[in-house]
Amino acid sequence: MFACLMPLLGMSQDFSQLSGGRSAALSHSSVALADPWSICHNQAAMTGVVNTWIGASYEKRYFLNDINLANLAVTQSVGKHALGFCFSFLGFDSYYESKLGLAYAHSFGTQLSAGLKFSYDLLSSPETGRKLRQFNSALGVFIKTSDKLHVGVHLNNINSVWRNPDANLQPMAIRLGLLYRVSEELGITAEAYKQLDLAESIRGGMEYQPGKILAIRLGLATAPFRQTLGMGYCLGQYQVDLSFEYMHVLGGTTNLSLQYELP
Amino acid sequence: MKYLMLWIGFMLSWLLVSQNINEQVNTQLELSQSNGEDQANMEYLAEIYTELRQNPIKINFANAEELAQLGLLNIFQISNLLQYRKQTGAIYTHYELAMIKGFDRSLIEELKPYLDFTTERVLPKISWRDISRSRHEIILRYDRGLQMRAGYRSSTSAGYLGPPYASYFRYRGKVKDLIHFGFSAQKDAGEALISKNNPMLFDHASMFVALKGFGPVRYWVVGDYQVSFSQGLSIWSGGGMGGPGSFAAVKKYSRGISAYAGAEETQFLRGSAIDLKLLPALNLRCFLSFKPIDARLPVGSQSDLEAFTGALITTGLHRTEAELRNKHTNQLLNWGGQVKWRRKNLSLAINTVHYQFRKPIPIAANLYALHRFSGSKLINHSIEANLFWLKYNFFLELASDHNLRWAGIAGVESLLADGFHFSISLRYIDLKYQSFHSSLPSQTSASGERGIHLGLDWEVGSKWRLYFSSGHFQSPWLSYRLDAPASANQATMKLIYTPKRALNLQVLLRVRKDQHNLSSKEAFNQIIQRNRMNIRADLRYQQHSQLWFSWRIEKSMVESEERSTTLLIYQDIGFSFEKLSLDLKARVALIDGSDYTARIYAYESDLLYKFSIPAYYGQALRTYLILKWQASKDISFQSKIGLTSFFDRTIISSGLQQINGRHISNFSFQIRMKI
Repeated sequence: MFACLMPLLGMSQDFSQLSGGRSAALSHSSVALADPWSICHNQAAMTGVVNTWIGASYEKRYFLNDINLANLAVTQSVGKHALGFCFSFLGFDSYYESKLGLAYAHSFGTQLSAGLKFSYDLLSSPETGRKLRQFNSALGVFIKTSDKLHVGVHLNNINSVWRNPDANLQPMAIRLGLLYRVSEELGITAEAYKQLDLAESIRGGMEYQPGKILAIRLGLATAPFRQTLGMGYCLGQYQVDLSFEYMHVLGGTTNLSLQYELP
Repeated sequence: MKYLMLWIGFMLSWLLVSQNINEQVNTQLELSQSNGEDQANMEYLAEIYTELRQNPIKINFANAEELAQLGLLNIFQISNLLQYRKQTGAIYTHYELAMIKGFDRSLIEELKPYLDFTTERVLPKISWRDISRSRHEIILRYDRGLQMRAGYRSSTSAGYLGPPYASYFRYRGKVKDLIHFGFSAQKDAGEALISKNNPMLFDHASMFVALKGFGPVRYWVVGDYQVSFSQGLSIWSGGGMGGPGSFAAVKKYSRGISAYAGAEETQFLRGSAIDLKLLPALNLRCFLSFKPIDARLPVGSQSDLEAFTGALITTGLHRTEAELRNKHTNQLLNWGGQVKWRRKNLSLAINTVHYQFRKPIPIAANLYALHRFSGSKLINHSIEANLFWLKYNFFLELASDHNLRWAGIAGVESLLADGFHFSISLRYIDLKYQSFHSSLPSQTSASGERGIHLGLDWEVGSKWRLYFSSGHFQSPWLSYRLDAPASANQATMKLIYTPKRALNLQVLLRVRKDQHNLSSKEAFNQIIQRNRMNIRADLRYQQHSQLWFSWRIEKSMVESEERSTTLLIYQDIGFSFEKLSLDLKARVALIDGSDYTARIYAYESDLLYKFSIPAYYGQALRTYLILKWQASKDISFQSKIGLTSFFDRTIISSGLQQINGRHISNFSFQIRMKI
């Protein structure tokens, strides 16, 4: 059973992208979103975040407490530069995966940003009896074509080009997506996610913000097919995002995240 | 170190405003490649558009036939343009084209590089002053693969004889747009610089001198040239699509006689050709060609002693002793002409083409090639008619060979409503109809084909455009890898949305159903149905003149005995540093494919006057970086470095082309000088 769940547990994909309640509510079609969790989705979009933010998220996945996911992110943006730090953890005593990431993004004018992220991945597995460690890198590009349309591209695990494919903890993956603001209140996201050795996933979401305080979100994704729903609250310097995901075979996943803007 | 250099360029992520052949032509080339059309066709098309860039069409003086040579305009657009020019006088800029019916934003952008808006007519007189002001351009190019292929490691005579780089030299000159001259020479990778069969430094050289617009002599070329008449049933050397760049067009627009000095080594004529205006309504074109051609010799024989040769070879490669043996083992004498009469909206033409091989070509050994040309003599005649009436353009070509086997194409292009361009054509090619330098339309790659082809080009408002093309084709004979009469059904749809000048979204869907042999070692193969589908989305954004982005997602699926898929996602970016006169462009592409069957062809930017449409397959990361530095007004340097890293294999390619390893990279460098 555990082996069957492996692709869904995040063992063969970048589980750090499954972070943040807002992203989860949009079925993780978040490569073109600029928010405190951009360090995990597309570090280039960190330049769209103003000031310094700290975020923490926790995801209760399906019916096993042992595969819950915890994430921490810190993002600081100053002028044209942005720095970010993230940490993700999944698993339990005998089996766990963690990812420690450091990212830098630079803004080239008002419309283009690019960012690099370096991460240290750790996998502890009872089968091997030892810990596997790897350094990885990722490149992101974020483009604001206009106030209405943002495009993001993210290429993960670039180091795998020089590594023996059998030795990769995670295969290379690419995300290409966009955010289209239909109006001040309504935004639509769409994304194509492709990791080598896995079927491509097409994701989409819709975010409705009737005011500055409340946001309602919906999402759909393929491979595997799942539906998501979520809400977000903005209370001054605090933001709380809650999401619920339903997958037909395995059931529900909830994600709660809290973001705080440092004064 | 070389990888570090690659990634430095990659991480810079600067941008380049790149030159592209043409968006519509790119699409058609990509689709043609996936249909298995050969490289020669692509190189010929690249040469056409290269020449058009260097010698743009003078829009204020060009007639309908010259405008049709652009390959981007249909008869209605040309008619509207001529009508507009007649009413308003000269056209001064490309912005004015938007006033003409049928010219939308995307079409104007594609036409821009190939149009000259000069209002000064060139008089057919040349003085010493004109000669002193003549313009010249020289290009030198070097290409090299960075990994060692098996053919270069082989110490036997079966290996490549020459070094692993390719070189190319190109010279073009013109005097007052009345006299054009050109010379090209090239060596492919693996070809020897100097050998007993090749005393020159280059394996292939091509040159021409051409006169334009001297009284009744509309065009006269001595040297290498191309000929294309009517719909290509009698002669259309060099291949090519011919039609307006949209794949939805069913009619070809011939270029007549045009000079040639390009990299493609086989599909051109060599001698002299002339285009004369006998009367205002009567044109005469004649050509004569004699050139050596490559043909396969039986093993152990010598070229001079053999009374016949085997199949003709069109690759133009002479890298090994075996390939060199087959070089210039036959000769072809070729002559013919066209008489064309034009009056108002009707034109009629008669074409004749004669071929004489010095050594006969035997009947092919393979059953599927039984009805292809064999022997030493061939004659083709054809008649062509074109009638432009109200909003309809009727066209017809009927051709026959010396055995009185015939072929025909008939169709109509129509403008059923404003912006709604619909066309249909029927074709019939007799199973035993033979031709040589022709462009027989063939979707089944079998001898003899009959079929119907529909095309639609619809401007749905100012921001939307829909292209649609479909066809049904049948042949009564076998074809390569199909031991039964062939049939194919194909449909392609492309939707373009241009909400503003800087932003363009395109979605393309293509389906094709045909048959092939089941892979089996038995003599009689089982035939199975093959279904192919490609779906693609492109987004292009031009932020300003210095900054440019492009994204693509494409999926290819092939279902026959197994299901094969390939997914391609890429991002292109380009940037121009005006102060440094430096342009950059980069691409990152991730490919995930199950095997080579469902490969995807995608256009890649390349050096000026060079192009590539490689196949993306397997599990791989493809990146490239192009740098262009304009050192001065007259000198520029360009370089391209590309890397493909595979994740699913440790051996790339096979035979002499085999590379041991997961990476394949290529470096190109080019200098361009204008005098």
